[in-house]
Amino acid sequence: MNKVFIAWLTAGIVMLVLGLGMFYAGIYFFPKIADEYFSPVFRRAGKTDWTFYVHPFILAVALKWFWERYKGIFKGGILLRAVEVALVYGIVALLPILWLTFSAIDVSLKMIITWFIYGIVQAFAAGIVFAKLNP
Amino acid sequence: MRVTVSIICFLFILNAAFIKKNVQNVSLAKWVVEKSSSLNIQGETNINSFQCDVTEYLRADTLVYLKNDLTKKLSFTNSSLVVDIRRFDCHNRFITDDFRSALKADENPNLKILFLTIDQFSNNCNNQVVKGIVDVQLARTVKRTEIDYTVKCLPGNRIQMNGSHVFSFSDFNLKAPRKLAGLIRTKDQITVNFQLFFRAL
Repeated sequence: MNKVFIAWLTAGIVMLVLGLGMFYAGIYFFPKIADEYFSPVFRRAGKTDWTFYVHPFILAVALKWFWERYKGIFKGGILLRAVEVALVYGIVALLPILWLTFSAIDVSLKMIITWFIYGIVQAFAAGIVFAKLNP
Repeated sequence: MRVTVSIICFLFILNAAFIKKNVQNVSLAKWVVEKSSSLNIQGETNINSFQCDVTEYLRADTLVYLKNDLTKKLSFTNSSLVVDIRRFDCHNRFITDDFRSALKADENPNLKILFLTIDQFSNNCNNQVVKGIVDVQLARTVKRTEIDYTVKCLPGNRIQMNGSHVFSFSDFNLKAPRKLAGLIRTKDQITVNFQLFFRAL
């Protein structure tokens, strides 16, 4: 149980730090896309700010459950297993929900693509943590 | 008793003479605000800088003032410029919408600049820098501000006055836009630049 908790917490922290890093890199390299965050479809910063910072830990719970349930079918080294986790998460979870987001909310395709990459990289990092700590 | 009455009479005559002299040195005049007047606001976010413009002044406003020839001071009487915030264009639809919303344009669509005084204004105004005091009213908050104007006389009895001032959103009890849990931020300070054209009547 302790091992599971440490793996979850580590994955959450790694995804949070990585997410912030990717976000600022996105602002630096793609400022035009980042300008879109000023769109009224995005909530103003305020009382719900904490929910944004908690999201990697929610994702870590989901990915940890998935890892424990299906880790047996992921063969190979740490990186390969992490890539598989990331791709499964991307195809099964991210792609449909981002498709739905694009269809319903006024955000550009470029923005959606950045979120897709962001999610895949986060899941890849979580995959590495899980493969290392709970192989 | 007689001495006291004499002193009072003397002071009264002196005062009346002083008032008369002052009145003789004060004249009333008017400026009509021309359409070509413009105003822009420059700001910065942690992504980019932005500029929001209103390039046309569509109201037919007149500024009325008393000019004291001795002190060269202009004292305005109920003279203001009113800018419709909803006409601000920040050249990016997201920033435009967000900026209007930050200024609470739906509730209070007008930015009002009430002219109070301008000091040391002379008719020989080639790039002369003068100080003025205005009340800026935005989102139901008024801020008294001293502004340095550069004044230029143009042909046809026209006057150009350029000025600039740094304000903060917080001056007007407004919050600078922040999105995505504060990861996207607009700096609190904004620079307001204006280029006003007046025609003297």
